Order: sequence, then C-alpha cells, then structure tokens
Amino acid sequence: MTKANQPGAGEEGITPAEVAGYETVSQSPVHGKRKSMFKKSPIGCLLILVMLAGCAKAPLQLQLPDQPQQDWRIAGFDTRRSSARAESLTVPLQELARLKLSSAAAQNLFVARGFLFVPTLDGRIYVVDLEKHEVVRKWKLPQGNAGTLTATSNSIVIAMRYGKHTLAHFDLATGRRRWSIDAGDIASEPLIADSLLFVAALYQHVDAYRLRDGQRRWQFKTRAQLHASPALGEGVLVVAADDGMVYGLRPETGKKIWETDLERPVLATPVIQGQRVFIGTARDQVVALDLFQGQVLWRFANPGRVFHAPAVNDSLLILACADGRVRALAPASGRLLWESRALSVIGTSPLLAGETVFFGALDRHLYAIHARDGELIWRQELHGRVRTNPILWQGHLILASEDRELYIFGSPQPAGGD
Amino acid sequence: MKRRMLLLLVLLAWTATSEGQYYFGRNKVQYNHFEWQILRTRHFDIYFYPEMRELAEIGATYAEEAYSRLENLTNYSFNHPLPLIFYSNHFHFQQTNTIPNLIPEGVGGFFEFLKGRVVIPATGSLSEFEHVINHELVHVFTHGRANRILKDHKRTQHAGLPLWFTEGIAEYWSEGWDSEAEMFIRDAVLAGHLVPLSQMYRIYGTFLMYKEGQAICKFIAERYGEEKLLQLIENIWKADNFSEVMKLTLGVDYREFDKVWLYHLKKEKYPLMEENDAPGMITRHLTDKGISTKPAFASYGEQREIVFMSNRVGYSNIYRMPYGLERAEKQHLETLVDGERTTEFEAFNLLRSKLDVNRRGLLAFVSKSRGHDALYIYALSQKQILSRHQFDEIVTISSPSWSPDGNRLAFAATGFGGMRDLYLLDPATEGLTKLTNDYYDDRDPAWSPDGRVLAFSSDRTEYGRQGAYNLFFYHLDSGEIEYATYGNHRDYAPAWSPDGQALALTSDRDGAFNLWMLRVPHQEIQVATTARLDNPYKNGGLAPAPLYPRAINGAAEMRKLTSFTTGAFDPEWTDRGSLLFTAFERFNFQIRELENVAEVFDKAKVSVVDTLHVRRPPWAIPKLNGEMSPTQFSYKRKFSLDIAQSQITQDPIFGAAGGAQLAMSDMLGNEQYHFLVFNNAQTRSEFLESFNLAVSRFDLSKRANHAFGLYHFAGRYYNYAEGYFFERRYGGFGALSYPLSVFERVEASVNVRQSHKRWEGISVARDALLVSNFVSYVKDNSLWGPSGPVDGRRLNVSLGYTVDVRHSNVNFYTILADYRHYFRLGLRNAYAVRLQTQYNHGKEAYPFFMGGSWDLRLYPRWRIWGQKTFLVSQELRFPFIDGFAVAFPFGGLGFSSIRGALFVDAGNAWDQKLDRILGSTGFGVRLRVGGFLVLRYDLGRRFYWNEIDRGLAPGKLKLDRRVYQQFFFGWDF
Repeated sequence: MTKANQPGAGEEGITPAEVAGYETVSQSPVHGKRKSMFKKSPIGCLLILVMLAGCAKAPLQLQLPDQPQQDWRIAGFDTRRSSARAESLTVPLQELARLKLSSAAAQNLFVARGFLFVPTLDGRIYVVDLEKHEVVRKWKLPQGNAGTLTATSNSIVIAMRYGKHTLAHFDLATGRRRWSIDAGDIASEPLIADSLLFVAALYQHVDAYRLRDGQRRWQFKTRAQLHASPALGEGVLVVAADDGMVYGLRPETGKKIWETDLERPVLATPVIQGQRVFIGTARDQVVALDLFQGQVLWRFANPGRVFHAPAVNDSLLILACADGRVRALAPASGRLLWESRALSVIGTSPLLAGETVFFGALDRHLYAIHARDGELIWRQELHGRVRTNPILWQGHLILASEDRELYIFGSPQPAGGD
Repeated sequence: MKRRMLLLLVLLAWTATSEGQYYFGRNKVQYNHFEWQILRTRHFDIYFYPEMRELAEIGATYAEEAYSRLENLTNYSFNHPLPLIFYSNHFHFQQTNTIPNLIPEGVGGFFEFLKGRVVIPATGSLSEFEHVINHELVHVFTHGRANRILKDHKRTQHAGLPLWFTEGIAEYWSEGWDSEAEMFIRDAVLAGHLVPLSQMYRIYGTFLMYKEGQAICKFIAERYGEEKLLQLIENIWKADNFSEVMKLTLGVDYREFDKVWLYHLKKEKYPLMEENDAPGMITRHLTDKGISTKPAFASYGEQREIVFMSNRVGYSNIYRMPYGLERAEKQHLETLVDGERTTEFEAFNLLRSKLDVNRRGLLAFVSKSRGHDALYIYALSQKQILSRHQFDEIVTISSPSWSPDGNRLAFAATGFGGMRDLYLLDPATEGLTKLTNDYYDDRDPAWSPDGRVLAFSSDRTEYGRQGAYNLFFYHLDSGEIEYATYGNHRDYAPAWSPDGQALALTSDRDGAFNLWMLRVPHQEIQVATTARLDNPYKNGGLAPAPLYPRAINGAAEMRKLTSFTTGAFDPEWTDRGSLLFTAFERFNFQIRELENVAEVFDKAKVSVVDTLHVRRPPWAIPKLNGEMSPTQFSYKRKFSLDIAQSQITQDPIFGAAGGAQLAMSDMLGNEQYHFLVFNNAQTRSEFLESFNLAVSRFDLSKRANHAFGLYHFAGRYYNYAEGYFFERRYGGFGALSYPLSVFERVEASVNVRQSHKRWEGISVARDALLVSNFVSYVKDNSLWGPSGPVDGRRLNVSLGYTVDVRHSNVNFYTILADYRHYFRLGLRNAYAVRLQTQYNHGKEAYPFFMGGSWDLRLYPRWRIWGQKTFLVSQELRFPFIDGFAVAFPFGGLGFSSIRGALFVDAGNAWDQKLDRILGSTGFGVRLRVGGFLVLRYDLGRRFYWNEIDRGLAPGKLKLDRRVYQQFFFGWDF
C-alpha cells in the first residue's frame, strides 16, 4: 500500500498501477460496454498495457475497519440531503491536519469505512486515512475529468461530469470495478437507496440503476438540464430541473407522482424533512412543497440566490445564499427566524451539527454560528475561498479550500454523539 | 499580450543608441497634475483626485452596489481590493498612463487585466457613470470566474471566453436592454447587415459585435434560461472551442444557434416595418457621406445655410452648405474649420456637442484645445474665428445656444468635479454665470425666442437613477425650474420653434429614439407652484444654491413626428417650418430634413400626455455610511510586476542566447522600471563577458516625460558594412520628451558609454568613451487608413553629436530629417510623399542601412549602406479589395480593406561621394491582419541613374528589365 501525504508522492502509483486497478474487471456484467471500450479507446489499450506490466495493487484495495462507522457516504449525509447531524462539535476547533491536493476539491467530500474520498476538479480522487491523516491513495480519472461519488458501506460509485463511461462502481475491499456504463454527463451527486442507484444526468434524464450490476431499471426525462441532485424521503424521489420544474417520482418505477413549476431556475439540490420538500431557487424564492402532492406550502422571498442545498432538521431550514447571508426559516411556515452575514458569498451548503451551523464562504473563512439565533461563535481564516461543503465524521470537521488545501479540524474535547 | 509587446518596444527604443530617437506618433500630454488619493471601501481601492471627491464617493457607492449584485449573480467574489481609477472627465482619462495607448473619444472605460485595474471617466451623467462601472465590473467578475475555473481544471492553455461573449454579457448584465441597443439591432436586422454568430470574426472588435453580443446574451437568457449565461462560463473548461461549450450548455453550437436566433430576430423585427419607416425612405437627404451630425440652421442676411460636423474625409471638420439647393452636399459643400490637425482644434466630438448660429451669422462651436474644451465664435460671413473662450474651471463644454439677441450664450459644462451644469456666457465681457450647481446632469440648453426661458434636458427627475431624462424650463428671471415633460424615458435636445409655440425633441418613450413635438402651454409656465419639492440632499453650500424643479399643475401634450425603425436625434428648426435632424440608419449617422412639421403634427397618430402633478422629489444619491463608510489616504507609489518572461533563442550564426525581461510599474503607471537580462555567450569562456543587462526608469507623471538607465551590452555582431565584430558597451543614458501639444514634441537625450570593439579576422580593436547628445523635433498630425497614413503630415528632425572624450577615436555629428506629406485625392485615395536624409559625418561615423520594403523597395533588405543616405518616395494609395472572408470547417477569417499602391522610390547611401541613384517603381498590395499587422507585397522593376556626379543626364537613366518582388510586413510610410 503506497502512502503519501504530499501531492507529488505516490503519483507514480496512480497512473499505471492504480489505473490498472481502476479498470481491471474480469466479471463485469456490462460486457458489451467494456469490450467496446477496450477495443476502441486508447485508454482501454493503455489499461491493458498496464495490466500486462504486472501491476498487482488496486487503488481501492483498502484495509477496512471491522466496524462500519457513521460514514458520510452521500452528499448531504442522508438520502433526504439534510446536511444535519445531532453530533455536535465544540468550537473553537483545532486544525488536526492539512493536506495538499493537486487542485481545488469538488463540491462534496465523502467518508466510507473511515476513509475520506476527495474528488478534485482536475480529475483526481484522493483517499485519506482519517485515523492517520494521510493520503493513502490517489488516482486520475479518465480524460482528466472532474468527478463526484457516493458510497455504500463496502463500495463506491464514481460519477463523472463529462465524457464516456461516466458511471462506475468499485468494491472498496478488493478495489475491483464491478461495472461501468455510459450514463451521460453528470453534474449532480448520485444517490443510493436500498439496491438502487439514482442519477440525475445533466442532459435531461433521471435514471435508476441496479447497484449490483448497473442495469438501468427506469428512466425519466425532463425538459431542462439537471444540475440539482435527487433527494429521497418517505418513498418519494424528488428531482428539480434547471427550468424550475420539480418532480416527485416513485423510486421503484420512475413514475411521476406530481410536478410543480416554480418558474425560476433551480440549481440547488432539494432537501426533504418530514412531509415537506424545500427548494432554494437561483432567483428570488425559497419554496416548500408537499412531498406527496407537490403543492406549494409556502414561499419565502429570498434576496439572495441559492446555489447550494440547504440544511434542515425539524425546527430549522438553513439557507446559504450568494448575497453573503445565511438565513434560517421555520420549516413549517417559511418564517424568517434569523439572518447571519459573512463577508462574501456563502460558498458551501450549511452543516447543521447539534446547535451549531458550519459553513464556508468565498471570503476564505470557515464560520460557526449558533443555530438558535445565527450569532457568530467562531471563525477561522483559511488560505483560499471555501467551495467544498464541510462534513462531519467522528468529531472531525472536514472541508477543503480553493487553494488546494484539505483541512481536518477536531474538537479539543468531542462532545455528544449520534 | 499587446501591452507586453508595447513595453518591449519601449524598452528597446530607449535602450538603443541614436536610432531610438527616430520615430513619429502623437503624444499623450499630461496637461494636469493630479494629487492622487485613495478611498478604501470594503471591496475597492478607489483612486481619485481631490477635486472629484464627491464623485468618487458616489462612484464608490455604485461600485459596492454593483459588487453585491454581481457577487450574488455570479456566485463569485474577490479576496483583495479591486483597484478602480476614476477620472472626472474624458480629457483627464485620456492622460492615464495605466495603458500606453492613446485613448480615442469613444472609449468609455476599460478593464486592464494585468494589474486588474478598472479605469473609468465620468461623463457628467451619473447614470452613465454607474452603467460603465457595472459594465467594467462584469468584466472583472467574468474574467476572474473563468480564470479560476480554468485554473482549477488545469486548463491553463485555454483561450478563454470569446470577445463577443465577454462584451455582450458585460452590456447585458449592466444595463439589460435599452433603446440604444434596440436601435442598433433593429437597424442591423432590417438593413440586412446582421452578422451571424458563426461568422462573428467578420466584425471582430467592432461596436456592432458588442451590440450583437448583448443581443445574443439577451436571447440566451430569454430562450434558454438566465442561469445559462453563468453556466456558459462555468463550462468553459469542458472544451477549447466556445461553440462546443455552447453545445454542451445550451444544446446548440454556433450554427445551430444562428438558425434559431436569426429566425427569432426576423420574426420580431420585420413586423416593425408595417408601422414604421427607415429614415432615408421618407425624409429628405441632406448628407450621405461619412458620419454627419449636429445640424444647425443659419439664417443671416440673405444667407440660409446648414452648418454641421462630419468626418467625411476621416478628420472631423465643420462644414456648411446652402439650404434648399439640390445636390448641395456634392456641389456647394464648404469646409469651415479643419479639426484634428492643430492645437486649436484638437478634436470635435461628433456626438456630444451641438452647434448654434445666431441671426448675425455667428457660429458657436466647441473644440478640445490644450487639454480642455474651448468655445469658439466664428463669423460665417467673414469665415474667421472672432473669439475663443476657455476657462480654467471648466473642462468640457457642450451644446452652446445663442440668446435671441445674439449677445449671450448658454451651454452645458463640467468642471474638475465631473458634474455637468448649465452656464451663461457674455462673450463680450467674458462674464460667466453658473446657473445650476448640483449632481444632476443638465444638458442641451435651448434659449426660447422671447429670451426668458431656457429649455433643457436633465436627469433631475425621480427616474433619473434609471437613466431617465426629462425636459425642464429654467426661468432666467427667477431661477425657477419647472418640469416640461415627465416620465421614465429619455427626452433630449429640445429645440424651440421660431414662434416659440412648440418644442421639438428626441425621445425614446416608445422604445426607439424618434422626433416628438411638445406644444408649449405658455400660460402654465407662469402658474405658481403648488408644491415646492424638498432638496433630497445638501451639497455643502456651494454657490449658487442648488435648484430643484417644482411641480406644476398641468399636462404636456406631445405628438410623435416620426416613426422610424432606428433613430432620430438633434432636431433643429428651419425658417420653412421643417426640422433638420440626425438620423441613424445603416450603421451610420446622416442629416435629414422632415418637411411640413405642422402638418405632420396635426396628422400625428401617436400622442401622449405627461401629467405634471409631480409630487416626488428628484432621485437622491445613495452614499456609503456607517460601517461601509470609506476611508481616505494619500496615494503612494507601490510597484508590482507587469511582465516577466524568459526566452531562449537559437541563431545559426550567433548561437544560443537566453534571457529574461521584467517590467514593473506603480498602480497609475506613472513610474515604470524595465529590466533586461540575457547572455549570448557561445563558449564557456565568454560567459561572463557576454552578459547583457539593462535597467531603465521612466517617469510619465508630468508633462515632461523623462527616463534614465544603465546598461551593459556585449556580444558578437554582424552588419553588412563591417562584417563580424565583437563589441562591449556599457554606460548610461538620460532622455527627456516634452510634448508641445498632441501633435508636436521636442526630445533630447544624452548617452555615455564605454565601447570596446574588436573586428574579427583582422585583429583590430579600438576603445572609446562615447558621449552622444541628441535633440529632436517631431510633428505628427497624420490620419491613418487601414494600412497607413492617408492625410496630414509627419516631420522628424534630429541633430546629434557623438564624441570619444577619452581617446578621440570617434567623433561625428548626425543629422536626420524625415518629412512625409499625405495629399488626400478622394475619400479613399491618397498621394504620399516621403523626403528623407540621414547624415553621419566624422570619424568612425555609424553607417545607415537601406533597402527593402520599408524604404527603397525591391532592393534586398538593409543591403545598401553608407554614412549618408537620401530617399524620395512617392506612392499612390487606393482601395483594391474591400473585403473577403474565408470560411473553414473549424472557423473563418475575415479580411477587409485590402489596399493597393503604385510607387516610385529613389535613393542611395554613400560615404564620400554619391555617384549613383537607385530607384524602383511598381505595384503593391497591403493586407491588414488582426488590427496590428500589415502584410506587404510589392512587384515591379528597378532603375538606376548612373554617374550623376557628372550631371543628371537623362541618358544615364537605365531601367532594369527584370521584375522583382518582395513580401514583408509593416505599415505604409
């Protein structure tokens, strides 16, 4: 196992040997696709050469801990995309580790079985051992493509924003690719629920794939492109399109239950709490819909544009807005509870951790404000703009800044827990 | 990149020897000395000078508001203060050293991306000031966002966003869509010269491209969704070709987009023809050439004339022609004042200032002169300037209007503070009275025939923040101001009918600029106010007291006189009841006449009534306060890098050379340092002695620019006269350049250097401590066409003396003279003459080199040399091909204005005796590429005139039978 904590170190382990692991699959169920890729794609040829070169180690062949942790396997933590945890952190936080990446990190980070997965915008994925705070793997995606991922307890699914074979499923323990398919360009975060993988592809279709073998189960087409990720709660899959159309779908069949036109662009992922869906639009409104019927329950006139998924729990809907404000609304009524201000655009989704809201801003600061009244509790200056959503794992607050730094913060004395 | 090239050229020019003094060009004159201050706000460092403090504060507010809006719109922000450099007017702006180029009248501001500077002049209109701030900040945000995305995705070699998109989105995100944009696009669609997106290269960098870009961005937002504009920027990393980025973002590439967009435009604009007309189809043509604007009707004695401005010959001049005669433009046009050639008439602004003629035939007009505007009074009958009026406290003047008795003038003007107000001038006594004094933009005064009221256009209305202008009456007896029109639209250029019963004006109240007429309700002008509106802010007690319009009970009925698809401006009454005006059509401005105006008014289908029950005060200017309050401090020069580049070259004769260049300057560009380091050693032993170093400092902050520097140059050189030699020179130089005006300057320099020269092969060496002094006079008022000058004159006379003060090995004097005269034979043809001599005389005088496309054509380049040269060139320049475009599957190239030339050159170089003249004659073609490069091809024959020392006998003239050709680059002489 190659270990490295510098961006240059271990690079040689990525390109030949680890790409071999990335692509080496002997029993893929999508034979046609794989065959075709190996025949036509220079990357496929390269992979064969690499295999023949005798590389044995796979990139994801990780030594997994015995007990699964409370991992952050999906953007927004759960299928409702709530970005809320009961676990709290005591601020001020201490910087436990800072790791250098090859480029700015993508919007979302993921943790599976104690390993942090960091996709970067130049098309690499870093794997960090969160116990040792070390980069243990990194590899480059085909075509230098930027990707995102989602994970189960023993596998990850990588989705890519551009190109061919944009969806691939890997086994964490063996590092073997289970399957890969051409799912179209994907600008949003996939979602795994039960045995299905839901993907909102950029060019106007939502697909459900069988996680086991990548077989498509259904497809739902939209009129506009899809930048927002799907959310799932109470048996309803909610998808929002760029043109403001929001759809409630049956996750088993893809059949439309309802649709609602918000008449304004939606780029931020909807979030679900109880029987409500909350959507921040990229113009001037935040809307709550009935999860089962799609009716508008309330609208909030929001001066800022919303580009990031809100955080939500039973009593708070936290909005991160491009006008530099974080606003808390009452989920039931849409009433403004408080407003807090950063020095610049809020660059991340908020993270609701116990009584504290964490978020990053383009003013190069990580903020912690009180969930009760929005009062600033703590602020930490980072080296670059913050565009990567903070996540919480085992008393660690993890995020990245635009200047290629990955930060791991921790409480001096962890308090509480799930 | 352009800046890099310019800096490099400047560096080479200053660090070279005497040849460095030898060039032409107009001057950027530092007429004013600015005491720069900085206003620091949350996101900006605003550079300003104390006279414009109020304007800078207003600009700071606008900038912060724009920042918040763009931050929200683009989801992006900056982590350092953005430098905004404000000037209170365009004339001060033209003195900026942030870029080396001369800034034309039409440039309203720019974003310079090396230092991230935004440089903006005020115009007198705060809404326009706000618009330009917003426009430039859109550039800053889109440039920053796109660069960040490319950097994150490691796409550092990407070409970036295309110009049509960056300019289009800057206009669209700063002003959306307005009647001016509508006018240009309507005209382009209906006249059939709209250029599809896939062929945008044909109009690269033109104003039409900017407006088409704005229209495209509007269409994308409306058809595909406003979020797509931002996504086009965010997806830039996905493809090198922006057409492909569009395909990925919108689902259509350039060609597919064209189908949808052009169809949409046709469907939208063609129906306009049912109710509207093209100006040229229903009104009388008075002019058809160049851009002709601002007609003034002159009726004095028996004369009835039209006076106007035009750039029909390239220069902007003032013309007149008889009124009422057919073909007057072709047969009776007379140039009254030549502009852009002398210090007195540096520039007429064709679109800014009207002309006016009183009943005694005195023409009042405005010209830029020595850094600020002057008001001239010109007697039409005597054809001479009677008086010139220039005021220290006034920078720009516009639209003079004579009083009915012809003794006083009203005009609009801006001072150093940048606000435009109304003034009265008594030319006889030079008595100047300021009528208004506030932040509102007051323009286009027009004196009523009874002499009691000034009608004028102003943004002192509640809609002023949105750019609206209404008409107002200024009562000269009481100083009261009243509304004449009211609403959220733009009413400009009021013109009283001769009987004082009506006002003609131009207004965009129905979406396009057209001529309207307002019947003036005389009795209502005298109605007492019903509500005096409060002053929305205090202006610090500046005298005279600020004036605010009062509400009156009444209504203004207006009727639309013209329904043009494009636009009509600057109405001017004649004594026949017709209106002269400037019409926009086919991307040009021409003067037209609308006849029988009273009849048109009576039959007008469109009429509106402006209710004048105005209750709300004029708009108030927001200012930063509380925690947003700016802090002020004095500017101190801090230097940052402009360029840093290294290069390695390989030459088959001189071997390899490697080096680096650095340039640094302060934020305002007033002080610049240039560094040059390279080594051209061919062997290890030569390494130390072959180091070339130069450092120079330029101070451009004052009118007299000066520079000094040190250098060490060494290496093997070759020229045809001396063969191979090694020379090592080190020393220093000082130079001074003082512009007498935009067109003339004097220069002086001194250069002291130690020179060690060793000729190869003959083992001869010499040492010298050389001192060179040069003084030069340079004049240039030439007008440039596509490939070089076509009018005006250029002159350079330099005298120099070089002496070896230690060994007396070198001792020679230098005379350089170059005179070029361009005779205009027609609008597009010119005859050019060049007379040039270079004369070095004395011990070890340098040789000059001739031959090639730049001087003696059809001879090998720089293969003729001697200590003395002379050259006579004559050339007939004419249009050859007006344009052609080449379309490839991956894109296209457009070429325009390919010029032809017939030439005759004669000259030679000699040391002791000139015994032969070399000559050439032939035909040439000039192709301009990309706005900065001209490719030249010459074809013809040589001739020789031998034994001229025995007399210029015709029999000694020989024509070489061979045909020679030459291909090179460079502008025409």
